[in-house]
Amino acid sequence: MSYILRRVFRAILLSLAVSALCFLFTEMAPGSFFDEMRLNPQISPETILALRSSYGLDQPLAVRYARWVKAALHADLGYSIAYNMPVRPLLWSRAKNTLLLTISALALTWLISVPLGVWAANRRGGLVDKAVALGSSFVISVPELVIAVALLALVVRWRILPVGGMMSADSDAFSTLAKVQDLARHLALPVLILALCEMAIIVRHVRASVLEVLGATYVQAARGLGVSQGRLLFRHVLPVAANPAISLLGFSLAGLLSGSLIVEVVCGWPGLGPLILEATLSRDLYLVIGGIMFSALFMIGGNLVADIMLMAVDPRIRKEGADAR
Amino acid sequence: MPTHSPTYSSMGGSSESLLRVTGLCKRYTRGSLWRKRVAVAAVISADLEISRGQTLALVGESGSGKSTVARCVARIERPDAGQILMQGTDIAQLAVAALLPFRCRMQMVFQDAVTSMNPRFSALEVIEEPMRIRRETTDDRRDRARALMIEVGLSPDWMHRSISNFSGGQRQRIALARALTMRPQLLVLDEALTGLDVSTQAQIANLLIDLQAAHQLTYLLISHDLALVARLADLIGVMAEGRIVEAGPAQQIVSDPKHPATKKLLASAEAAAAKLTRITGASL
Repeated sequence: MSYILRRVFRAILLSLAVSALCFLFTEMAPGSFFDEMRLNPQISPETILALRSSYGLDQPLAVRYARWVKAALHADLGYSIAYNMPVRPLLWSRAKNTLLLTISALALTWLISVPLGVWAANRRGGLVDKAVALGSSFVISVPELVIAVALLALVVRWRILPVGGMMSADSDAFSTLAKVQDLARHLALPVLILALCEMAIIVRHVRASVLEVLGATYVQAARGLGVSQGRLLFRHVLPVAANPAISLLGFSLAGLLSGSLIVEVVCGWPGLGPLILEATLSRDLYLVIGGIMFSALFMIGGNLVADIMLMAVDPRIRKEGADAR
Repeated sequence: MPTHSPTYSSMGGSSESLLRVTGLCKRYTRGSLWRKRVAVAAVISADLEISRGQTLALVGESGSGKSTVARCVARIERPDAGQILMQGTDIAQLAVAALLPFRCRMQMVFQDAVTSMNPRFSALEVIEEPMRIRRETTDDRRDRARALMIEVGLSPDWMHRSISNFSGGQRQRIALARALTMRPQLLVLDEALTGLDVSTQAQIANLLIDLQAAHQLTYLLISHDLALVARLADLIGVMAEGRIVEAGPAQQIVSDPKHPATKKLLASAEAAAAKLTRITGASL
């Protein structure tokens, strides 16, 4: 329990540090939302000052940060200047689309990568292993943006999947099942792009972890005892090889989330990516901070889940937690 | 350097032959997707024979192929050529399922007891693993593990301790207990005494002698330490560059070495002993 508490405490500290850095960097960035207003002769400097004051932007950075933290503890992430509405509902309406995309891509990535990595390691030097090595090297060496644009071009050329948005224009008339199918078809391309890019990394890590354990003396000793291939893999190899793979889960979430911001813009998926991009370009301060904080919390949460999973599968970490008490 | 292995008529063993290896050959291939695959011969040709209750030591420098012979005999590796006759049955090319009955008759103990056991397992889980394969009941497994722990000099109260909580010498005792669960006739000891301090080495060596007497065990002992194996082995085979270059009774090999590789090993052992004497001021 103490292990989890320490991890939660660390996660809280990390969230505070990220939020402080967010405030600092947005303050250091040149320009503000009101700079374009200043160019408009119809808006007086007094009006702009009054607007800055109404959004609390005339206060020192420390005061603004303290106010934001206090408000954020009550689930209030501030007010969007560009959209003229609270950040939280605005962010949530997009964040749930990003979550749907990221979690779908995460599930697909791991469902394919783990068995493929184990298979490749177990048949080292075989056809599958060589195909995995070649394919993953190719995908890793090509920028994600290029893969996204190439797949988008193929999908548009062959007209196999709808492109842009989450639902078809006439989806209101669809039955529930047809709506789900329509959503799945719109989701397929961005999920495929994200999963493909992430899979190339994860499958190599899983393969390397399994290979390392397969070469361990204790696995050879188990073979010498006559342990069956199935028991060898599931009782001796995978539980030990799982540790580095589980640690990767947090990084994988981070990779998928940052990748999703690009993929959403390329595929026209209405998630956080286009929203953060627009907010950054228009210097919509609290929306940018809210968007970054959401992504950071998602990643920190993912790492926390990975830590808890590690504790669940590795008795040595449980022991370490018990010893620390 | 002779191109053939020495005959084993000189190695004695008038009693029943337990293991006979003839023309054993093992090559490994190196290479990758981008590099050409190259075959490296670890064992070119090895012949040996051990009678029931005997100890045959294979000695040689690192890379001479002695561990590969051990791994092939224990069928952790499949040899490329040659015969491994276990009580008359050639197990060299047997499939995994057909090998299972022979696994009970021979077991291997590895050099590094720390890495030869699943780090997640307790002592009990390590010892009972071979019995699980034979689908023995939980009570039977536990009773046998308890008895074996006592036999190898460990308290059965420690059976639920994680393997990481045992010292190197204790782990080697657990490794011996694990090997004995199958009631084997042949133990392949691959550098099982290497890496232990002198005191622990002596304790394990004594334990091996006691176990051999109690279970009528036959040992294939792999080591690079000629001086050490001379005290334990009845017969010695010296390996160099993938071949057994000299073989015979232990005393004969030590007192009258013929091959340069044997002489070199003896010189190394004597130099090490002299160095130890200089450091400790005591004679071995």
